[in-house]
Amino acid sequence: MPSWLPIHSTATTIWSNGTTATYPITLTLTGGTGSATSYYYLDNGTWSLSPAQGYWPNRELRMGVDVAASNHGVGGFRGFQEDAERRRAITAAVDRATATLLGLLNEEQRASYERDRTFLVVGSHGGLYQIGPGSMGNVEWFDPTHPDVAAGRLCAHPQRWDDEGGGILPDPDIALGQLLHLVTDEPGFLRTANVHAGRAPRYPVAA
Amino acid sequence: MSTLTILDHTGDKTIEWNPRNPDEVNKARLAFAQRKAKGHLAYRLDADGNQGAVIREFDPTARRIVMSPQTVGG
Repeated sequence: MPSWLPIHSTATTIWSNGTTATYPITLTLTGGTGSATSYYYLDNGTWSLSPAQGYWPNRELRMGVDVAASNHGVGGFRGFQEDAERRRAITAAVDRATATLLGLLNEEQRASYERDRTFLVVGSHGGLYQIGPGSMGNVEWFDPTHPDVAAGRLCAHPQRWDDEGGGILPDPDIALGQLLHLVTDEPGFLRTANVHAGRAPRYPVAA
Repeated sequence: MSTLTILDHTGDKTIEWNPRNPDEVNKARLAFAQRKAKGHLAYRLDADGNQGAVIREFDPTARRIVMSPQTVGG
C-alpha cells in the first residue's frame, strides 16, 4: 500500500461559498491505490477520501500524492494545477448562481442579500422566515407574537451533491431552492425540515 | 422566449425554447423529464419571477421554469 504525503507546506480549504483559507499541513496520510492526486476531508476528526475527487462542503480539504509520483515532481505539479482549476470553477459557479438568485429576489430581498447574505421570505401559508448563508440550519423562522427574535432554526435544503456533474450546489442556489420551496409549498418544506435550534413552527401549517 | 433554469454545481444551466418551435419545446421537455426522474422539484414562475407554483409536468406555455434538486432535511 503506498504512502500518501501532503504536497504543500500548507493546505487550502475551499468553502462552499467559493472563498478559501490556508492552513499548515500537519498530517501524513496513508492509503490509496494509485498515483493520482486525491482529496481528503476532515469529518468529526477523521480524514476520509473525498467522493469522486470532489470537494466537500464546509470541511477542510487537503491534497496528497503518492510518494513515488511526488519524488518525480509530477504529482505535486498536477495537484497544484487541479487545485487552481477547481477554485476557478467554484468561483464561476458561485458568481453565476448569485446572478440567478439576485434576478429572482424582490428589491428588498436583494438589498438585504447584498448587505449580509440574508433575506426574509413569506411562505405560501404566511409564515415568516429568514434564509441565511450556507445550507445547514440556515433558515430561521419567526413567531408572529415575538417577531423580533427567531423562534427556531430549521434545516432543509436542496440536495447539495450534484450526481450528474460531480460537484456541489453553490450557496446562492441553495438559498434559491429554499426560497422557491417556501413560497410555493411551505407545508412540504416544514415536513422535510429538521429543527436545529429553538422549536418547530406550530403555525400556520402544522397539520 | 421561455427559459428553463436548472440549478446545478456550475451555478445553473439554462435552456430556452420558443413555444411555437416544436424542436425547442421537445428539447426543453426532455431536459425537464431527465431532471424530474432524478427527483428534482420544478417551479413555474410568474413574469416578475418572484411568485411561483410547483409543477410536476413540463408546461410549454410557462415563461420561466426553475428546477432544483429535491429538498432534504439536514
